[in-house]
Amino acid sequence: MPCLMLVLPAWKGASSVWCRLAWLALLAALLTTGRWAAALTLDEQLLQWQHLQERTSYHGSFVYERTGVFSTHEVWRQADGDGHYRERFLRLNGSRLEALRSDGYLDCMARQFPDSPLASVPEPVLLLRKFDLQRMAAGYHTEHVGRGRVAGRDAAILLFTPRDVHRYPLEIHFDLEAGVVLKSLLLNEQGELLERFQFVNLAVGEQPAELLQVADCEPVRTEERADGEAGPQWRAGWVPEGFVAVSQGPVQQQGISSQLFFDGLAHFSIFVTAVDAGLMDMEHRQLGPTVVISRPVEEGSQRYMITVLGEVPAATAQRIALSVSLSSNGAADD
Amino acid sequence: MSEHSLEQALSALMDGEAGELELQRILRHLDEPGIRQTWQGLNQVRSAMHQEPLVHVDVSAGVRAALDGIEMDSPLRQPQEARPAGSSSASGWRNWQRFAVAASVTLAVLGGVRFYNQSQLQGPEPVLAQTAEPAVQMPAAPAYLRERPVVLASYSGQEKQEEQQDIARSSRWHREQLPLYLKQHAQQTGISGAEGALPYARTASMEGR
Repeated sequence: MPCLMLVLPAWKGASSVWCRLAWLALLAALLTTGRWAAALTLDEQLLQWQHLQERTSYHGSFVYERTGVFSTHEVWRQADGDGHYRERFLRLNGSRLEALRSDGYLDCMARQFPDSPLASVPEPVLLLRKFDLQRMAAGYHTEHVGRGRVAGRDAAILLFTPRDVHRYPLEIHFDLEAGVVLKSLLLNEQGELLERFQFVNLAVGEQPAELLQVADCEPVRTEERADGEAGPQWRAGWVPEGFVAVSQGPVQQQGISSQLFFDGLAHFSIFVTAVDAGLMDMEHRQLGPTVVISRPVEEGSQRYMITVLGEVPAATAQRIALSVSLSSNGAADD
Repeated sequence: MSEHSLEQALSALMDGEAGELELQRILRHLDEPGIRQTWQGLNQVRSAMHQEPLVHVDVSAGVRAALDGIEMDSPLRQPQEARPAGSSSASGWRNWQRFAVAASVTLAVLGGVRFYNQSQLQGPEPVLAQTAEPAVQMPAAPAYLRERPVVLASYSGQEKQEEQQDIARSSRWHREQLPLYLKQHAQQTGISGAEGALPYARTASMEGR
């Protein structure tokens, strides 16, 4: 019998009962190993979750905490079938804060106490919206560490361990069904928590249009790139391996030249601007996971402030800041 | 060698990523007061990052001691031409010596600072040169691999207060400019990241509470 010859050669010639049992055992083994063994690699699984979460509508609430901040939020999200989505966020504690987002872009914000102007966001040239797996692999070792339960839903726990000292470890819990990031923990090099994002409840389903409106929403301006605009000319001599610039060149905006870098998970920005003479020393600030390093430099008669800001270790940000050099034909002379 | 690349070399040394070239560059500039200031500046940031008390460590004493402790015909102190053209094994030995010096310097600098930070409560003694056995410790396995972080207890109102005091101490330029930088960064990352609502939550945490 062919089946016995394949599965249990020692039982060659045995009865057809054994043949059936062998096939049953094989089938059971396939079923119990479940979806993870269903020929999907970790990379493919990540892409599948990304694809799923872009197409999932839901309503839920989550907590966000970092040093000195603990806040609770509610979110409504309506996605259409082709990867476009719209979200409304409402902060539930402290002063009122509401925001609308489309495809990840912040459209507008309504604030009870607008203490400072909303930052305008330069229009990006290149969008990295998907998991850039190749890039991520350069910086992190990705590992499926098990299953968990968040907001009453089953989740797969993935650990992104950095390959060097220039980024933080990250633990992300993905919803097994909807691909939504249910929980994300950012840790420092000592394994201490820097930041927690975690859903408390999540109900998947279509959201009515009236729940995706915000009254008196102050638009976030998206500035067009002014490539011809004069600004400081600079270059970063060193960025950690795996980080790439999100835009093709620094974005010039109101005298500030900036560029965002991304390694597939973490970001940092470099800002360069001309400042008045007699301004201060190197400054260091830590806001939860976000480090800010400012360093004044002089080029000719002009003083500039170089600021590196992002979710990277302080020593790394400092090294990046030290590597930034201004071109002698800087814009101040243009 | 420009001051700029020297700073980079020091920063690389602090990351434990300095190669032989960088170490030699630092050694050549040891007598300049600027390098000590830079090193101390780097240490201040590191101390602040790890919430350690600010320490002023004069790097030169420890490094000098490390150098003097190795009795050798240091190729670093001789012009290239003055060195006898030795056999290949002799030059190999010299290279080995050179690297040994470089390694000693790294250990004296990094080990000494680590040692000093650990003995912070015992008064500000510059003990670099006396650390015969550098107190460089291999970090244990990260805590997060052993257990899930249990967090809420580690956040306190005091930390928030410190953050606010920190901001109050900053210069006017920083008070005005940094919130804008922070928001721009947080808003832009929402576009390129794959982290769902996290970038929004970060933006919201910068807004009045």
